[in-house]
Parts: sequence; structure tokens; C-alpha cells
Amino acid sequence: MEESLALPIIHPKLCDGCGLCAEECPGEAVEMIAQKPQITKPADCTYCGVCEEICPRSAIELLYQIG
Amino acid sequence: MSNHPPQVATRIKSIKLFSHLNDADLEMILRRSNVINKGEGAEILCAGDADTPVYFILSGSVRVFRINPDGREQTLIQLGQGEVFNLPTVFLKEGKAPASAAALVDSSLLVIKGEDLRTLITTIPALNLAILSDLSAKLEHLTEVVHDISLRSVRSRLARFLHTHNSAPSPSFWTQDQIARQIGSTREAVNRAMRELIQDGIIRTERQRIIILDPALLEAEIEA
Repeated sequence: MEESLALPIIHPKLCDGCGLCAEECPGEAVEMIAQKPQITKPADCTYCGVCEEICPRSAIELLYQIG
Repeated sequence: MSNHPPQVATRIKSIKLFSHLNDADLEMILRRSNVINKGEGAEILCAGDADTPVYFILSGSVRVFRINPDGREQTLIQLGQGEVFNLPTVFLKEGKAPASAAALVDSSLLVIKGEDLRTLITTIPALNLAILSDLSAKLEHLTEVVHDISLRSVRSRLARFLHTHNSAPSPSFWTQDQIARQIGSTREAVNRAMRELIQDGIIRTERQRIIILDPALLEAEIEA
């Protein structure tokens, strides 16, 4: 069985639908669907953090465990 | 006898301030207290609120913090079972809460009004030393927080955070925003500092993990 891939967390209520995350995602893993971002190609997400960094509403978060 | 369920009478013994008290003293405390439950993330009190009570954590954990008008937060301390918070309010004019508090997880709290705790302090002398000890420990902790924020760089504070939480016994997941609140900074500054530590070969990130590559260099960063 394929191990589920950890992905950035998107908070739709905080998102204003600007689409910057979809535009800037280097792996083109994010698409805007009904004016909200969705990671439609999880395998193409490298967890680089560009989406979190660029989001003006802090609506995307990447979780890290230390160690 | 107090009206609390038996489990509260048992749990009160885990409160550090009360751990050395006898059953008669504990019964006196229970009679002047009540228990509230707060769900994960729920606000418990807001800095500046007047006539706030003192809270003792029977179970769960609580974050004590200050927040400025633009929403930036500084976590002052995280407390777990057996700890007390908002204790200074008992001794402060107007009893204003010095900081805000919110439940980190579902939490059960024993609540005692300031005036009731003042009465208990005069009735139970053994409580005085325990309270002084707790306030001194908090003062020491806050002195360290002030030192960190005023004298250490974000990079140094981040290094300390990573060092402290490296391979913690019960590992948690952190966002950069949460780390920023812990170390008194912003997500952007934490992001920059993390990139620098990566470039210098001290840490590396992989999906959902921050890995310490060179613990000695990380420790050196703390004192840099």
C-alpha cells in the first residue's frame, strides 16, 4: 500500500482566493478550484514551503516535527 | 465535605502548590473552589481582565501569552498538569490578569477566586512558602524570556528552540508561525533564520521534519 504523503494544510476560511499559491508553486501541485486552492497533484508537492511563504493571509501551513 | 466528585479530590493532590498539605487543608481548598473544563484552543482569560481568579491545572495543558494590537503573540510559558497560572492577580491592585491564557488541549481547571485564595493563605501558613516558590520560579523563567528577546538574535532563539525540542519524548508538530510565537518573533523572520541554518549545514528539512545535522554547531549558535 502507498504511504500517505504529508501535505501543506490549507485553511479555506482564511483564504481569500488570490491564487498566488497556485501561480507560484514550483511543482504546479496546486490548482484553484471554485476560487480555493487545492493540492490536486500531491506527488508533485515537494513540501518546499513557497505556498506558505507567499500566502498573504497565512492560510497555508507546513507542519514539522523536530528531530 | 465539598461537593466535588471524588476524582477532583484525588487530582488536587497533583497540584504542586498543594502537594505537601494535609487532608483537612485540601478539604478547605476544595470548599472554596470550583472546576471548569475548556476545550482545545478555548480562551480561558484575557490580559487586563479585572477580578480574575487563580487557575490550577487538574488535567491538560495551557498556553499563557500576551498579544499586541496587530495580532502578534508572545508565548510566555506553557504549563501542564499540576501547575498554576494567574497567581499574581491575588497580590496585584485591581486583580487584573497580567497575561492571557488558552487551553492547548482539552483541559480541566480548578478555579479559586482571589479573595478566597487570600483567605486560604492566612488560614494555611504552609501555602505561603509554596506560593513564594512558584512566583520565584516564574520570575526566573520570565527573566530568561526577557533576556532571550532583548539580547539574542532570532537565529539564536530558533537554535535554542530546536535544541530544546530535538527528539522530545512526546514530539509535537510545529508550524513556523507557532515557533515564532514561542520565540517572540514573526513567521517571516523564523523562515529566514531557518534558511540560514540550512545553508550553513546545521539543519536540514525534509517533508514534515527538521533534522539537526550538527548538534554541536547548533549549541554554538545558541550562545552566538
